[in-house]
Amino acid sequence: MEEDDSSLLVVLLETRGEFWERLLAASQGAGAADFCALTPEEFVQQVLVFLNAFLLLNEGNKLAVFAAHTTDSRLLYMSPSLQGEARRRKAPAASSSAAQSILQRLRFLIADDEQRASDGEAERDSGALAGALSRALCFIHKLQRPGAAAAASGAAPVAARQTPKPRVLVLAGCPDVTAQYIAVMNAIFSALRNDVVIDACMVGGADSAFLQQAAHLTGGLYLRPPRVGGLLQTLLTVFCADTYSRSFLDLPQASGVDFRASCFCHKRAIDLGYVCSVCLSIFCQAMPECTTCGTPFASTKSGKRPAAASPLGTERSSKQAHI
Amino acid sequence: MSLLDSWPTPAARAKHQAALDRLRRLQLLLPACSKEAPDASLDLHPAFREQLRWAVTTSQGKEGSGVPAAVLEAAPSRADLDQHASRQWEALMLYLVGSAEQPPAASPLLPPAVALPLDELLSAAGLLSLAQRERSITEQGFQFLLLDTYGQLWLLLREYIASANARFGEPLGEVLNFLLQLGFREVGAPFAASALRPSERGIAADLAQLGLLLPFRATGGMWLAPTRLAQALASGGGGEAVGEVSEGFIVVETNYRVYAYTSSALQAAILRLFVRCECVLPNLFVGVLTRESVTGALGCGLSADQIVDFLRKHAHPHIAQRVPVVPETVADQIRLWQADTRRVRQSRAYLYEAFDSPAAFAAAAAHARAAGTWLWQDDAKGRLVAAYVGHDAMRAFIRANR
Repeated sequence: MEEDDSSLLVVLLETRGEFWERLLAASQGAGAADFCALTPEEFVQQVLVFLNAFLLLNEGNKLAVFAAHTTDSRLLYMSPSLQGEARRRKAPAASSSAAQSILQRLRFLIADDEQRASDGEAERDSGALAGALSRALCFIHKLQRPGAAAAASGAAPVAARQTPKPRVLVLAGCPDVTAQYIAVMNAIFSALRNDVVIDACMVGGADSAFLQQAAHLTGGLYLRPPRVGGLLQTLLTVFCADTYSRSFLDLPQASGVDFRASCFCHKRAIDLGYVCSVCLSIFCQAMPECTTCGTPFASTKSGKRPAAASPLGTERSSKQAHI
Repeated sequence: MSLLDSWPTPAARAKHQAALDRLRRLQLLLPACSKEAPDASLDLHPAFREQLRWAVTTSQGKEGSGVPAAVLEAAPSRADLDQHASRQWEALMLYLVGSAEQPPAASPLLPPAVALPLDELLSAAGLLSLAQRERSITEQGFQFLLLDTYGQLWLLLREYIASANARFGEPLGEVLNFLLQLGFREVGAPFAASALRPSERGIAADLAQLGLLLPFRATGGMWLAPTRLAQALASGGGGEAVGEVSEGFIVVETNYRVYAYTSSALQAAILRLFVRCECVLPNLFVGVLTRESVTGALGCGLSADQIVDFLRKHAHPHIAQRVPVVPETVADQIRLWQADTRRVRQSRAYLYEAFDSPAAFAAAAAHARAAGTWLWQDDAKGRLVAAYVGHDAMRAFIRANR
């Protein structure tokens, strides 16, 4: 029954204020008829339909939804069977549907924000992609670890049973926060180790170099549908298929991947830079010594400029830049 | 069509066509005939399309919105449901094995109008033979015990559906409809018994007896909560609904010793089919796989693969990681014992002796050889054995030669 493997989908939904503003601005600019824009309401509706479709596709499909919010990530929903027995008991049998639960928590989230804004506690809006990604991976890891799953559910040990194949889908629209480079790359590499596929669907005009790299390295799909209004179509046709079925489908491929790295000193995305030959830290300007490992560089004039010789535009160097 | 054909990669085209064919055979894909899209060549079945759209777009929960909070409060917990399900199902199995005299008790809250004729059901399924008013488990019954719960459930329900038709006078479709609806309910999400039609109440009572439903009393009368056995109805054999029912408890060691951490009389009874019991502790069954115990089970109609499969499927989680779960020596030995039972094959033959003369004996032997029925001969004593099938011709030949 390998073909009918169920999947565990963890969706990261970008919910920062900036994202909603971008959607709103785009939809006001464009005409409604040409499917070029999406109001926030439509976005949420379409995503919910997609999630419903995913759950219908296979009885064993499991879903978890996290919100990548301004400064933190929140859990919006998880399939009842993923929850521990204790929690299941607290909220008895008649649990609400995925859509209801997500909508309700989204409303909380937004009300919370408005409350804070009116209190004048405006926080620095940095976006929590890295945090949400790490949290999603932790979540998956916890389910994959055989002993832990049993302890969490309190039911029969499930070691012998195969867990559903995990993948992460990021729905985002804001440009990268270059400061999060290291955290995001670390998340990508741990995803790679755990065989977790990261997919990304960009909603809106901006491409994300981080997510491009994430999809590229983990064997996922990165898409930025040109017509955002038809987001649902993209989600259903491309992201519903499990990783096994994908090998049989002629799916759209990303045209190119932006492999630029961010420097460790100013968190700027750079094409050319200096790389420490010991720890592979990346700097945008010459340094007397490595700030990460403390290796003194011989001399900035005659010293090594390994990265300058080979621009950081290749996959190899971007990987290395990070280990 | 061309758009549809562009979906798969060239290598997977056959797979894609097979999938489309299957959908066509299920009548989910129909040749298009709508006027709105004249160039379309395929259409979804209209009813299916409507329901799918409804299912995907509604944000309402499946059911449950109509259930009062007081009922939810009184609803049995998951543990209660699980306990009820396994107790009833186990009682049924024990009844089948013969270690329990009584079939699983019907729920006192929901007594069936007509008692469920379990004996007939089991014998119709070929699991129980009722010859001479004596209940005894058949070969198929033994194999049935080793099936997973999902397989057991449907095997029994197939007969039940067939018989329900006669018992309730309901069309087959109605019975199936009720069962499938039940299968798609969430475990433990209660529904009112009063909303059921009389015949459905009858079915519900039977299912409560089999452990698929747990009736309970709350405000507004009788309510029914489906157990995970009910969910297994529509889960297609996968899913956790079935998996959780049979948790692993068996450890097999290379010295043929079997430790089964179970307090269930049923599991012990099943193990006794092919394991020689050494001792039984409150939560532990210790036994040895011996040649006698295994050949005994093989004689009952079990196969070596079924035995090994059972041991593997119910392996204790501590050894479930081991590869292979059942030690190779043990699995191989069980298969060898099975091969042993097949080493000697019996077939009927005829012994001819006291021939009139050595010449007659030689002629008869030559004749048997020519006919291909010759098996053995003893020239000194003038004895000859030939297969039974050639006996008539042989007799005729010997008579003619006399």
